[in-house]
Amino acid sequence: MQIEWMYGLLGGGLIGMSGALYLLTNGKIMDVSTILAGVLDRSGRATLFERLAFLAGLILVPGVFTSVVTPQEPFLQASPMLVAVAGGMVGLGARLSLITRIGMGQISFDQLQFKIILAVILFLVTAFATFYMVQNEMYKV
Amino acid sequence: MISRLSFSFAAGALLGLGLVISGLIDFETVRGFLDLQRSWNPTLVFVLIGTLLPMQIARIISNRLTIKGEGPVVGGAFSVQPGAQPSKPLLIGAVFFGIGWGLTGLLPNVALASVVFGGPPNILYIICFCIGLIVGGPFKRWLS
Repeated sequence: MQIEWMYGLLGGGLIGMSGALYLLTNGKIMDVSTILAGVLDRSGRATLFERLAFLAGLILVPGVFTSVVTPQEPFLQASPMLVAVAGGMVGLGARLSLITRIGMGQISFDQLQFKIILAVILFLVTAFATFYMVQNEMYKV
Repeated sequence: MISRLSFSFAAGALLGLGLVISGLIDFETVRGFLDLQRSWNPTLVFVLIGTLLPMQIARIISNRLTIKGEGPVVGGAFSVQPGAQPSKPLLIGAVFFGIGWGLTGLLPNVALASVVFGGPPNILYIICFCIGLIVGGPFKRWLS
């Protein structure tokens, strides 16, 4: 467990550095959902190649790393309906809120307003409650 | 243009590497955080703590550069979009995201980083995530 949290801190530091690099070079907050949404609905036409380059880096490095160093098996053993609903709701939620930004530490302390703290609490409570219900088969999708 | 693309690629690559090193690329690590009934895995909390320091330093630097009338490396101005988010989409979105995350335990960053080896369910998740992002645009404008 001790090793796990040390790697967690180290990996988190790298994620923070990626956000810092993106901010100081491109001038924007690094938010994967916003970057991808701009490609999908063409709202980010002016920065399309910049967005695609970011996504290429995000996909390629773990792909190469896991195929060479730590091979991973396909995961996500769940019904296709459950997976589809989960993906759709996460996409909708990510577009509506700042949650993916907060989750990756991309929001600064001076932006921590009451409504953002409330959003984080709501997000965590619904996530834990939903996970509990799915695990205990209290409802099925 | 080249430098803008290189920096974007490097940021994406660094994010991908961070997800690998932190262990978040392992699906069970994130699920372990949500699983309070068995052995709870707090790794996600340490990842979040790890992200804070570099990002806060970068925000301080960007604020100072803005005061001096300077911008980011590739030119232009910093666009940090401070918390001008309307409350309704923020709170409704948080609930949607929480339910979606709780259903499978998979986060979108992890799903995208796992696209090479994640298999068909992961691809299905990403397609539906993309549909959610597209639908979310007009829905957010309607809610606002």
